[in-house]
Amino acid sequence: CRRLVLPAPPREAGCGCGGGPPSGSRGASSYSFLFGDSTPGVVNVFDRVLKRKQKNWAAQLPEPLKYDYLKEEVGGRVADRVYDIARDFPLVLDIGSGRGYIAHHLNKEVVGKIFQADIAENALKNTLETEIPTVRVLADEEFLPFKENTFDLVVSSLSLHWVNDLPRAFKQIHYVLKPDGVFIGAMFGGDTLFELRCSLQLAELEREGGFSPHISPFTAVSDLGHLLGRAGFNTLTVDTDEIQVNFPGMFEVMEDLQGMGESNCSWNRKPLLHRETMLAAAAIYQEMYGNEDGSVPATFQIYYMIGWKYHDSQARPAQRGSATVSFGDLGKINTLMSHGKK
Amino acid sequence: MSGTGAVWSRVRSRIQSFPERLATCGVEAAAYGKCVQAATAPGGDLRRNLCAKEFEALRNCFVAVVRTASPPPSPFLPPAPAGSAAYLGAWPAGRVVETVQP
Repeated sequence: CRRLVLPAPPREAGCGCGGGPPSGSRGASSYSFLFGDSTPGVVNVFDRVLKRKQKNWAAQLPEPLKYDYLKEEVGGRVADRVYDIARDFPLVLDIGSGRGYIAHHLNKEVVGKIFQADIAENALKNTLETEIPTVRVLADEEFLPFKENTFDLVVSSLSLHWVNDLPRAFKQIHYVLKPDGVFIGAMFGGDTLFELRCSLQLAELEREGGFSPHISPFTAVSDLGHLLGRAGFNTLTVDTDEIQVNFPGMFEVMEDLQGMGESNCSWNRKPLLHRETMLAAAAIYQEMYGNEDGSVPATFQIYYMIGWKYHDSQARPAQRGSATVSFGDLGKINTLMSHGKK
Repeated sequence: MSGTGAVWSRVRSRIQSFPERLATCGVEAAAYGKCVQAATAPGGDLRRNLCAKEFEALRNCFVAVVRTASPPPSPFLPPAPAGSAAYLGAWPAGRVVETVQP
């Protein structure tokens, strides 16, 4: 079924909780009540309105498949991880789905119904084919309009790196998951596009005497683990993958990034990149990182994370002092095991 | 913010000539790149206009490239008729990067 549901404004969404904030402003945002106002110390880094415009523009390009190869690939890898879990999921949420790259690789046996949430309506209108029944929701990753304990599985592919308040987004994901539900996410990691970052920095230094950030900051692996833990997830797994794509030159890299909807939208971005700086950066990129055949590589480092919501049935670490066998007996493990079988 | 997209496509078509020009100026680009890379080595000091001479040579070469092929297709214009220059397939084939000492 195909239905575009507009997001409820925050005050109506979510929990149906009986008690509002005690000072009596009953209609005030239930998000603030549940998740607190934005995490203290979080800076508003990204202009979400601009990101929405960029994604909408990218989604209405005449040949979307030309630029979607990376998202398609990572969507396939996330779907692999879903298949690896020996369970089926009646209700699934895809956050920042774009054109639905993950659902494209999943099948009806594993997933019953999928909700695809994204901020760009053009992307939701042009989704890839999938055999799973879909509901498409226009929603921001930080303001999910769903009740507690709704979904068996939440997936997210390559969209969380544009979220301002990542701790809060993880808490929301944890909130909408059912107990024993799982979150599988993929986001860009620290080494992504380091060649482009370095080339632009060096070129701006040499040409203009200083530099400003053109690539957005990415989360480090250790921080990811901490964030997931603080949000309440158990049994965390974070692993990393590196995809290297070869381009004819730096200009093609930038063109493809724009076509993917991954243009810069930080508040502190410099609005103008001089042509001379671009030329200098392209020359540096070619010289410092170029391959033998004249192409240049662009590295995309992807972090895949898996986190589970607590449930009694999940294995827990054993109590201290409950060991029945000593490590020193490891040499006799064969005899121990045969005794156990008897 | 023109509604027709005239400014955008004009600027875009200009920038679409950049890769071709850069490919033609491979020698100068390599010289400039080497100069900057040398300054990043430990003990080097990269400051403004350190490699100005090499960049001037690159820029002059870049500007002087005569456009012989027709402008490549923009995503907003209707697709070019068959037979026109295939822009995006144009890898810098046959370009040999070697520094020629003047």
